[in-house]
Amino acid sequence: MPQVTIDNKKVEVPNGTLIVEAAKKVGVEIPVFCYHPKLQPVGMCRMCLVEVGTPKRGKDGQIELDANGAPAIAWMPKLQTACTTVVSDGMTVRTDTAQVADARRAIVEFLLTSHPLDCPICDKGGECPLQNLTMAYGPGQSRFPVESKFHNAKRVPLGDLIMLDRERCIQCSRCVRFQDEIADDHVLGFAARGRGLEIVTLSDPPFDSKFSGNTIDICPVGALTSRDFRLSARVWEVRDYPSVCAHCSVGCNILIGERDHAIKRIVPRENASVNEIWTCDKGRFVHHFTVAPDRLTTPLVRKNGNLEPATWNEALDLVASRFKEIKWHDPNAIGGLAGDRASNEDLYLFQKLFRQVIGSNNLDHRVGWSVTNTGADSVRVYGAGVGTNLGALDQNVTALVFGADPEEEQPVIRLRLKRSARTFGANLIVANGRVTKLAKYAKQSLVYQYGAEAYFLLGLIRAILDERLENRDFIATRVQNFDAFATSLEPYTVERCAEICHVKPEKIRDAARQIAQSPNFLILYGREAMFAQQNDVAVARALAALLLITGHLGRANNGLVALYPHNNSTGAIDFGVLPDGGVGRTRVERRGLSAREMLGRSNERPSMRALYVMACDPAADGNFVKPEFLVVQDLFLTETARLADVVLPAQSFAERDGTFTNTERRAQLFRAALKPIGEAKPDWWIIAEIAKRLVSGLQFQVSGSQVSGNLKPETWNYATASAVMDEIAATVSLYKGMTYAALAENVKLPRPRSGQGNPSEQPTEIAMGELENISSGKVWASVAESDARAKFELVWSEPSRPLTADSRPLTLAVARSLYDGGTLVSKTQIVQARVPAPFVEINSQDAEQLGIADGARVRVSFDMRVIELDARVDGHVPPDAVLIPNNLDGTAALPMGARVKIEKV
Amino acid sequence: MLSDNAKSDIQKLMAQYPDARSAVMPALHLVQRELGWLPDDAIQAIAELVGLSKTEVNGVATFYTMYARAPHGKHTIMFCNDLPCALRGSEKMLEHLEHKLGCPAGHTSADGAITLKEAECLGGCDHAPVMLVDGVEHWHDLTIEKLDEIVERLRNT
Ligand code: SF4
Ligand code: SF4
Ligand code: FES
Ligand code: FES
Repeated sequence: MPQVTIDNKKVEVPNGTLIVEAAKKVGVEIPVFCYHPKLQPVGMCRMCLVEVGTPKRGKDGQIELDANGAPAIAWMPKLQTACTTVVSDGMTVRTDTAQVADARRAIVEFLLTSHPLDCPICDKGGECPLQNLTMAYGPGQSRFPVESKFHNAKRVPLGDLIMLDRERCIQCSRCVRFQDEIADDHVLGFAARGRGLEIVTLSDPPFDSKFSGNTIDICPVGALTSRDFRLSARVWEVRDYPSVCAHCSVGCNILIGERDHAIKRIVPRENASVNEIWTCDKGRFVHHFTVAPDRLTTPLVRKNGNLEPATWNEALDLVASRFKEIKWHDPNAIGGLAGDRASNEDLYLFQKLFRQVIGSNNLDHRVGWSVTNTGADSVRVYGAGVGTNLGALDQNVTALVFGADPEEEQPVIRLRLKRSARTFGANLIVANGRVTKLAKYAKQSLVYQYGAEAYFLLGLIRAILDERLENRDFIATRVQNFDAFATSLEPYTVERCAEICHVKPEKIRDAARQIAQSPNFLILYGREAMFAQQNDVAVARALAALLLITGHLGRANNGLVALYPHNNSTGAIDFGVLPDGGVGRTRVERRGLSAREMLGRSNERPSMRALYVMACDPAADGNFVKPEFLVVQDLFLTETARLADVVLPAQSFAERDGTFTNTERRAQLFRAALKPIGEAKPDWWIIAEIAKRLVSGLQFQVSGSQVSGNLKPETWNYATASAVMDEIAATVSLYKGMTYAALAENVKLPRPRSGQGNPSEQPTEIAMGELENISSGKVWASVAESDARAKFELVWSEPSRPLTADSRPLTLAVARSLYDGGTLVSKTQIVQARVPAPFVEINSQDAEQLGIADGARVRVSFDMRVIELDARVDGHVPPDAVLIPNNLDGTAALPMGARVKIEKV
Repeated sequence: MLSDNAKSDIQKLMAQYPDARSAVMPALHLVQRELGWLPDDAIQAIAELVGLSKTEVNGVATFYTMYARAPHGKHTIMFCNDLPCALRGSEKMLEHLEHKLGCPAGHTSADGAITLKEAECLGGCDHAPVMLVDGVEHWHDLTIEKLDEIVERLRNT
């Protein structure tokens, strides 16, 4: 490793290190504008100039010594840019000389000749590198007459979300490079040159990227500002609270910037294992729901047919007494639906209430999306090893991304997988029923026929076995039932599987070789594969088999990652909000009813007498029949809430503490940032209050017989969310030790700013990406890694053949749109233009046969349902399939894999 | 937008580079020759062909002054405005040209014949003043008489 001397401090750094990075190691700050640790260096601004010398060599190539016997230094005649110069052994760098100070002063003076210096009205003021570096290195005065300043447009919208101030731009190209290198949406660019140089976007819609907000953070001046936050607060008045994004299952770490009891802005908080320093625009901008005027502020109770405000006691007493009464007749007449957006604490107590107090297993979180839960058990057993970093998979890792569309469903995971593939050379194999945005990073992109997912996987397995590439040692010692499995596989030749799934046999063989021969193999499977309706069991077992026969499990970068739709889908499974799954992904003995069964009807009567609905809105999916007693706990008066007998106002994630478990099984802590709205309470508190009331009566009922621990009201006394987590950390083995204290380790605290905290601390630039190793939250270990001797069973499951295309019914593929038509998104005005009108995507071949033109209005019918949508004709969906996002206006609860008919209106 | 000929020519150009998108500059020239200038649709069409984004192609087309992003005259004069030419009286000559064409630099004469543009050093300082006509004719040691002659000729061709 080369050794360099920087301002007389010696440091050894890896080959290829830039001077600017080496200097940080010895505590020397080299000022930069265009350089950013996450971007390729370009040397555009010249702020980082330093003196650089290398050991002087004689004609014989020997290093010459000076009078003191130290190596003589040959100084380069001119200053060099520290951000583009790579260190070499013996290099000497000086940053503390008059020449360097002069250069810096000149650059700052030069930049300021065309800079408006309107810091008092600039959003960036207070956390602005230009401001800070001017103070630190600039001349006190300008020689440039104010009247000759260059002026330029100050309010140029770059799309709906970002505002550009052309005067403030210092042309560092960080924003352009972010879009090109990190987001890979090439929609920002320079136009013209010299003084006329400007940032422009020509995409349609303008600045068409799901990651545009990140450019606000990395712009070193106030040229790019958020049209949402703009001019609404000075940054030093905003108080930052560490939190976790409550939208998708990535769980990006964020800081909630609060002022006047409202969220002013959300910025990313660094976590190298989750989101690095980025968020998507949904996470950044979709927060207005927290203070929406129509938030529920008091409990409501139905009186004379109307929902009327009530006190908490009144409402809770009513819920408890009705539950008690119905339970006395039949505990199984009470069902619980809890959305997978609620926190772990809420979900844990919700199921505890049902299983231990009410005595019903009628529990589910799968509302509004047609799903099965088949893969959940595989994740518990084969889940990707702790330490897997999806953003840093290298050439030793092959990752199969199966039936997923991270761009729409887990946007930051798309960024991270792209980084793995492009920066570190990870080998991605992307397989889906259609071409997704991720495909371009794949060494192999395979499109199978929807419905034939299992055949594709069996083809891979068979190809591995055919070529004797399986891991025989692992199979011999750890895997049971191999021979029987192999026998069942006999009829499934690669050719036959290939024919059914429409992927060429050579391609299957090639992918199989890569999988088997790679030192590490990871499967990320998404909703489209997980919920492949007809074959879900076969798919889940085949995925497990693929890992087992190759022995790719139980270590980092090996195993299974389930890409779920919501922020806490993993938590909902972990804490058993399922009819058949208990706490800690155990199995319950007596299976309860699923959401679909609970919401169904028998003889025109709803199958439940009472429903407790928390954080979900089953009525929005249509066909909802109100049970005798309906309790809804939510932020808003949802469609279900409108029908309820009791409505309980819950707090949003921003008002309370809690934990979410992301799609990689990482439990992460979020903290309250806002004062509660009205009388809203945290979900966990409400559940505990209902439980206490139920239990005190029940104790009375069962007096004389033995009272179990959980039927004592004291066991429901939780002072804080953290107390609930303490109980979880002590009793649920997956979450062992995951107390708030443990989860808070390494949480990067709010940035100190002028006027806040320690005044001697300099305000720091947002999202600089300096803390490469910062990683907080805890991932629970799968069985494969926690038990080194565990044996695994290969289980065969016969796939059913995909239906063949007859008289043009098409297969329905259900996608999702990042900007959905849901309540939370609807409260953020500035993203509304990005919410697509409901549409169906259809292949151009099919469209031609059916006489459907792009943009035409069509009627789609399936399963006795008919919906009308606009058609999009393009090449992303294969023939014989249509694709509809199921989270837009009127498209909820679509059955994946259904046969649909489509016709012009 | 683009003629089939232009498209196939661009495809041929793309094949000449290890990275197809490197063909963006000759492609822009080619289309400009065909259409006279580079309208938005042409930028879009080129972007799609060579595999860049519209914003990126626009960046190239606006960086180089020899690409025109707005309609312009049949002929283009690029008149050097740098120091050595200025020392040899180019400023006067530019003024003369502006009067003759009846439009300031950066604009097109009313008859649509000639667009006058200023340019940075055209690399002929030893024979200043210098101007470039239609990107190919390099005129040096200019005098007012010579200018008049050239303008007359351009107006009539
Ligand atoms: S807008 Fe900001 S990030 Fe982009 S080039 Fe200008 S100063 Fe740099
Ligand atoms: S990627 Fe997901 S978790 Fe991250 S900011 Fe976007 S919605 Fe939130
Ligand atoms: S930081 Fe080195 S040139 Fe800009
Ligand atoms: S200054 Fe006019 S050609 Fe160089």
